[in-house]
Amino acid sequence: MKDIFVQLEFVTWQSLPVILFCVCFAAVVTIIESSFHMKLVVQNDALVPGFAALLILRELGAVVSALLLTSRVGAGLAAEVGSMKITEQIEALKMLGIDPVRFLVVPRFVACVIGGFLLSLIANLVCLYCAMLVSEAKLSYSSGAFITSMRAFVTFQDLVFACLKGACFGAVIPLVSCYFGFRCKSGAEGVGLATTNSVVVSSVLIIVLDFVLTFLFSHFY
Amino acid sequence: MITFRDVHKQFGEREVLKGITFEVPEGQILFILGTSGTGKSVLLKNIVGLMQPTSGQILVDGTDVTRLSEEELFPVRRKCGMVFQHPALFDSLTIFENVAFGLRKHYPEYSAAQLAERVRECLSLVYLSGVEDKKPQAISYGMQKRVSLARTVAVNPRILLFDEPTTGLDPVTTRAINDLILELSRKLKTTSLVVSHDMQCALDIADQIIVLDMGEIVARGTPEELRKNPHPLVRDFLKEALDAETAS
Amino acid sequence: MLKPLLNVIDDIGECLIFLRLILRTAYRSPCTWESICEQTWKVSVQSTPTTALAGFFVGAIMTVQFTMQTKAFGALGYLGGLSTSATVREVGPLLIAFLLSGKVGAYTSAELGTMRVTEQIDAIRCLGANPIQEIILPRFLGIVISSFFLLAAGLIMSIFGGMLMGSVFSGINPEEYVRHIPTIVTQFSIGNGLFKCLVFALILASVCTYKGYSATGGAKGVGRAVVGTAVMTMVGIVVFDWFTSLLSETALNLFREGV
Repeated sequence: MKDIFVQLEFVTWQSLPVILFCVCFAAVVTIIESSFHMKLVVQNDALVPGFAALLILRELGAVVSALLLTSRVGAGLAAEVGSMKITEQIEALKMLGIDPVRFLVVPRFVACVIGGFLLSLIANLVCLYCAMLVSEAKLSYSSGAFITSMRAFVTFQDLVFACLKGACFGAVIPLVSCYFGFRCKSGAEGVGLATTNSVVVSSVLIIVLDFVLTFLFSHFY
Repeated sequence: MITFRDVHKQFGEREVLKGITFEVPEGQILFILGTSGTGKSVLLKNIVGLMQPTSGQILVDGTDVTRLSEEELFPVRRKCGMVFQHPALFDSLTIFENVAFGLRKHYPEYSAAQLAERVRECLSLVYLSGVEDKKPQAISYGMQKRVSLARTVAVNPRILLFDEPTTGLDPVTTRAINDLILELSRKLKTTSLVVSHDMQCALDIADQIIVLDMGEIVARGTPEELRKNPHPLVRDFLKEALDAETAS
Repeated sequence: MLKPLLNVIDDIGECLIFLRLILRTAYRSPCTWESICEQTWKVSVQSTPTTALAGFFVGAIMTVQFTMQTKAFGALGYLGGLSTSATVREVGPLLIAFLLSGKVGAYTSAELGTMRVTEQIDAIRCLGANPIQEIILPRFLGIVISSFFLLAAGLIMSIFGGMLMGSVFSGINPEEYVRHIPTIVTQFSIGNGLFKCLVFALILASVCTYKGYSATGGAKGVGRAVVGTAVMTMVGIVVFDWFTSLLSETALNLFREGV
């Protein structure tokens, strides 16, 4: 139980600065880009907040934070477990009668699922807030107008779905990384390979899973 | 041939070498012994400019190598061959290409036939044949070590530097590598500097031995002189070697 | 609190110094064309499936998302144009570059890190060769070239992905889908997307070579280098995504005013 909290601290708290930093930039870009598109299609900025909020909540928030989590936590996990494997720590655990999967994977898995959920929630909210600030500064929207326009497009349901997505992505990361970590071959090469593979496979899986979930959730609107 | 004058090296707060002074006369084999983490490898890397000392001078053939740029180091490195702790073979290249790598750099005038001849010759120096087309991963660790030796001697260095040549090898291979070091040094008339923690082989093949502890030289001399040295660390090292001698 | 920040700044600075070193080496002692081509080929072959797959799915996702919106406005006809435009200009380069940073970036830094910690790089220097010229430069250029084309190929795949989902999910036949692309996606948008790809490729190449080359400390060090690469590239990509968007917007405004 204590392990879970330690891992949760690592997954959530320590990744938070990087993720928040990135989603803030993503928010700015989204506003710029959606204002570009709106000008193109409907010739004015009226729908920008709603459109941007939609893009953030349904897509960018969860995916961007999940991909960042993959690189930070996923790669870190694979490197950690891989190093343990090649320094025979895994074998040592087995000799001590401790199930390495239970000891290593389970806390990380639980922590990542919870962490994914929380991070997705925080990232989305911060991202929206950031988008609001930007549109206030750049497109001179008052925050009230922003929220009104946003409400026309997105509902609370969207936030829930975004968090669910985050939790699903969170589940992918430790599974993939620990799998590659446990199969790590000896030497510096092995660790490098395990880390690389886990990043690649989990990010591809996240994109594919994102598609599946988007498709699934689209039936609930 | 190689002269150290009051060489200091610091990593941040930690002082790894605290004023090392010694000299390796031409044609001799000098062993530097010490426990792990006493700055032996650092000392070696300073000679070929892979690291720069914090202060002090290192003369190789009369040139101070401590403040040279990468280009100016080229002639110095040409004189020195370094055998690394890891085999450090380039794993994307075949054994042949590995041995030929330095040759292509230093002897661009060699024809393909000359190159092949020289590679074969160097591999036979370390008693290897028929492995030219294999990749480093496909041969045993001991063989990789020997290939790395061949790669180093291929460019005719006058100074050979060995960084723990026998660490992590079984006793049989250790003996073989030690014999090779002695044989190559004598045959090619090189000056050799070997960093190791194997007192036994130091006693066997060294002309001079230096014992390093905590970045300082605590004992130096010929193997005979060292056998009589009262320093506790030297005694510790000797005890193991002598035990092995009596056992065999 | 201040220390991590300083570390980040240190990292960025060292990466830039390393980039300068690479560029200076490229100017003074260029590597052979063969070695660049070899690396380009290697990276391209390795990463084509990943990028193509990613591009395909990104396109598909965007189409599904946009279908719901355009339907609400009764503007389903615009679907092809809108989703392609959003993908090409923004989401596509970003997400595909993320994946590529995992694939190419992590692989290269692991490879270079391994060479570093097993002293292969020191061995190169001892044999009188310049590791930057022999090892880093071909990889750097190879990654820049192939990532650029891979990203562009990923964008093309995303159009296919979008088209397929358009016909499966939203009942727009491919012809209809494609017909509306040129009405919304201008040359400027495509240029913008490609410019982003180029910038991302540069970031990717410099970060992964720098991190791999400066790895220390055995197998663990290699792991650290890979993690560092992945994080730094992604953050760099997001920041420069903003920067290029801003740049292209400014350029567009200037252009419009000029007309």
